[in-house]
Amino acid sequence: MRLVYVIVFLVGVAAILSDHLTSPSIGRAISPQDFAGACAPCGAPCPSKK
Amino acid sequence: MRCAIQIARAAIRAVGVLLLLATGAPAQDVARTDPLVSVEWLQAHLRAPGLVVLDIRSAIDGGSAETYAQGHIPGAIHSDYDKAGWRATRNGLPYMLPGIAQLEKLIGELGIDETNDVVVVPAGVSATDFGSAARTYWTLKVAGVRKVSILDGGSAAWTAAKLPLESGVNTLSPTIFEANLDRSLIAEAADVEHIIATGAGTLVDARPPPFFQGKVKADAAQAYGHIPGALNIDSTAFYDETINRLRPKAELAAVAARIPPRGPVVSYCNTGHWSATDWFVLAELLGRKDVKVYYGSMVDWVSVPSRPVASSRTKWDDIKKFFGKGS
Amino acid sequence: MMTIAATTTLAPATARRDWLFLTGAVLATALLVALVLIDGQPASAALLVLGFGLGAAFLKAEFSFTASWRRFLVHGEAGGLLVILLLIALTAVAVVPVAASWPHYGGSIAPLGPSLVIGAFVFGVGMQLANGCGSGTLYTVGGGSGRMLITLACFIVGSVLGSMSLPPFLRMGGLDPVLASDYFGPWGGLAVTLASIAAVALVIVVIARRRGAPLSTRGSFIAGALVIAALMIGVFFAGGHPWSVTFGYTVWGGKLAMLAGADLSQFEFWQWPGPKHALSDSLLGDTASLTNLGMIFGAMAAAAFSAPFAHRPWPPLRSLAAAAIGGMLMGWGARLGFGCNIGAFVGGVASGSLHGWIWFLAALGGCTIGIKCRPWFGLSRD
Repeated sequence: MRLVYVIVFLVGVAAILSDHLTSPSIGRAISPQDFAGACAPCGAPCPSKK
Repeated sequence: MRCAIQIARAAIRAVGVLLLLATGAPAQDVARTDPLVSVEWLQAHLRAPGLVVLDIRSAIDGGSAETYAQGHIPGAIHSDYDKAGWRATRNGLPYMLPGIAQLEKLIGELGIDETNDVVVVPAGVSATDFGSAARTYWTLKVAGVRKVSILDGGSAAWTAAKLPLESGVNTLSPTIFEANLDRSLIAEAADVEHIIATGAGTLVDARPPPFFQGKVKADAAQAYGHIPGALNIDSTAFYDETINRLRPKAELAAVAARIPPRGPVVSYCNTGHWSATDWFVLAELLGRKDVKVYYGSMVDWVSVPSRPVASSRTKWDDIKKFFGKGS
Repeated sequence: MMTIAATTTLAPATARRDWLFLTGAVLATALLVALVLIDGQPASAALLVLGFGLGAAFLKAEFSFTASWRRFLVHGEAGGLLVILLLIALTAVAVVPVAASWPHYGGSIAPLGPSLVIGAFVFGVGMQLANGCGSGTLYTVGGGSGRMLITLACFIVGSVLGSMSLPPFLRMGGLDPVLASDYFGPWGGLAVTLASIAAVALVIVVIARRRGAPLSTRGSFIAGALVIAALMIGVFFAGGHPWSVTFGYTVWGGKLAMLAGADLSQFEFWQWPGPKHALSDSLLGDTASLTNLGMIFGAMAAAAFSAPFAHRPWPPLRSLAAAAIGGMLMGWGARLGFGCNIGAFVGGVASGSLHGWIWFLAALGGCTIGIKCRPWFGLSRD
C-alpha cells in the first residue's frame, strides 16, 4: 500500500506540475470567475432564462 | 477670425485654379506625388514650391535635433518624432494619436498646412526607423495633409548618394493649420470588437513573432499575446535591412498575400508604430482599400481586462521570467 | 465500519512518525504555494494552506458526515448530525450577510428541480457504499486508505459523466434559486437561516428522543467542528464563495479526459464560462482544486505525523466494489445535485439557499437505500 501511495503521489504531483506549467498565461491577474448570471457555482444557467 | 482666413484662402485658391485653367498651364507635378519617393526624385524637386522636407530623426534611430543640425538635406526642417508631440499620452496610455488641437499646433508650428507637399525623411537605418516615418506620414494624412511622401532610404540614402548636405537649422514661419480629420484611416477598439464579433475584416498584427506569441510584451501593455483572430505580418518583413529600403512591390505583395484579398483591414502593433508600416504598404503602396491603423493597439486593447487576448504563453514562461531567464 | 486513524497507544508517538510522507506532503504543499505566489495569487496560496488545515482537522477529528448520518438513520443517534448543524450555523454567520452585501462575494445557490433531487438522492446512495462523501474521500485518501483511492478515481470519472448529464437534466425544468437574503436582506436572511437550522435540529432531537437514542458525541468531533467552521469561513473569504469540493473533481476529470483525447467541446457543460476556463487554465486557478489538494496533503501530513502511513492492506474485493460503485454514484450525483455535503448541504444552507435543505432531505433518502445495500458488499449496517 505504501508503494501504491508513493507512486500515486509522485504521478499526481507530476501531473499537477505539468498541467500548471503548460497552462496559458497572459501575464495579468485572472478576473474573478465569470459566473455572472449563473444559477449555480458550476455556471449552470437559470431555469427562468430558458 | 479663423473663418475669415479660411474664406480668404479658399478664394485665393479658386482664383489660382481659374487662372491655371484660363492659361491652359499644365498642372504642377507637386499636385500628386508617389507615397514613396526616391533620392533622385527629391534631388530634382528640392526647390519645388510648396515642398517641405521634414527630417524626423529622433532617439529611436539614434539621432536628434543635433544630428540634424550637423548635416541634413538642403532646405529640410526638423521635428523630433519621439519628443515633438507626434504621439501623446492619453488616458494614461503612451504613444497615442494626439488630439486635434495638439495636431494643429504641432503641424502648424512647423509651417505646414494642407496645401504643402511633405516629404518625410527618416534616418534610414532600420525597419523600426522606417516605422517612424510611416507613423508620421499616417498622422499627417489623418490630420488632413493630402500630399505626403516618404523618402525611400531616408537621410542615409541621401548621404550615401554623395549628395550635398546642409548644416544648421531651417524653420518655416508657423501657419494656422486647420485639421480635417480623416477618420477612414483610424480604427478604435470598437472597430476591433466588431471584427472579432462578425468576422467582417482582418486584423493584422505588425509585431515580431515573439510579441504575437506572447513570449515578450511591451512594458506599457498589461498582458501578453495578440488580439484573437489576428494574422501576424511582421512589419520588418516588408523592409530589406541590408539596403535599408522597402522591398520591391512584388515582394511586398507576396508578404501580404496571406491577407484575404477583399474586406476591411485593421493594422495594429503595440502603440501604432510598426502597424503604420503595415498600413503604409497595404494602403499606400499596394493600393488596398479600407485599411485602418488601430493606433491604441495592444497597449490600449489590454487596458480593459475583459477584452480577449490570445497567446501561446504558458506559466512556464512566467516562471522563467521570475527567475530572470525570460521575459 | 472502517476507521482510518491508527488507534494504537502502546508505542511512543515519535517512534511511529512516517517522515517520508510527512515531508512529502509538506513539501508538495510548499511547492504549490510557491507556484501560486509566483503567479501573483496570494488568495490561492491561502486556499492551499486553509485546505491543508482542513485535511488535518478532518483527519484528527475523524469528521465523517457519512458515519454521522448513518448512525442517525440506523440508530437515531443524532449527536454527530447536531454538531454538523452547529458547524453550518457558525459558517452561516459569516456567509449570509457578507455574500448579500459585499461585491465579489457570493453564496452557494442552485435551481430547485429534478436535477437537484435526483442528484442528491443518488449521491446519498453512493456515499454510504463508499464510506465517505466528497470531503470524506479527500481526508481518507490523504490518510492513506487504498480503498478510498479507488473511490476517488471513480468519483472523478462519475463527475465527468455527470457533467454530460447535467444540461439535459436541467432542461427538465425547475425554479430559480431561493435565497433567504433576497427576501429578508442580509441580517433578516441570517436570522431566517439560523431559525431554519434550529427548527431542523429540533426535529432531529425529537426523532432521537422517540427512538430512545443518546444525543451525545465525542469531544473531538465538537472540537473538530469548531476548527473546521473557522477554516471554512477563511476559505469563504479567500475564495469569494463557500468551500466547494466536487467541482474540483469535475475539472480533474475533464482534464484527464482531454489528455486521453476526448473532445469536450461538444458537451454543453464545458461551454459554460466557469467550466470552460477551468478546463483550459491551470488547475491551480480553480478554488475547489486548491482546497482539495491542500486537504489531501494536510490529512497526509497529520496521518504520517503520528503513525506509519498507509499500512493497511487492501480490503476484500467486495468492499472495493462498493468503493468503486459508491464513487461513481457520488460523482454523477454531485454534478446533478450541485455539490456534495460540503458544497450543497453545508454551503447551501450556510448561504441561506433553500436548495441546501432539499439536498439534505434527498440525500438522507438516498442514504437509507445505500445503507440497505451495504451488507451485499460486506459492509456493516452501522
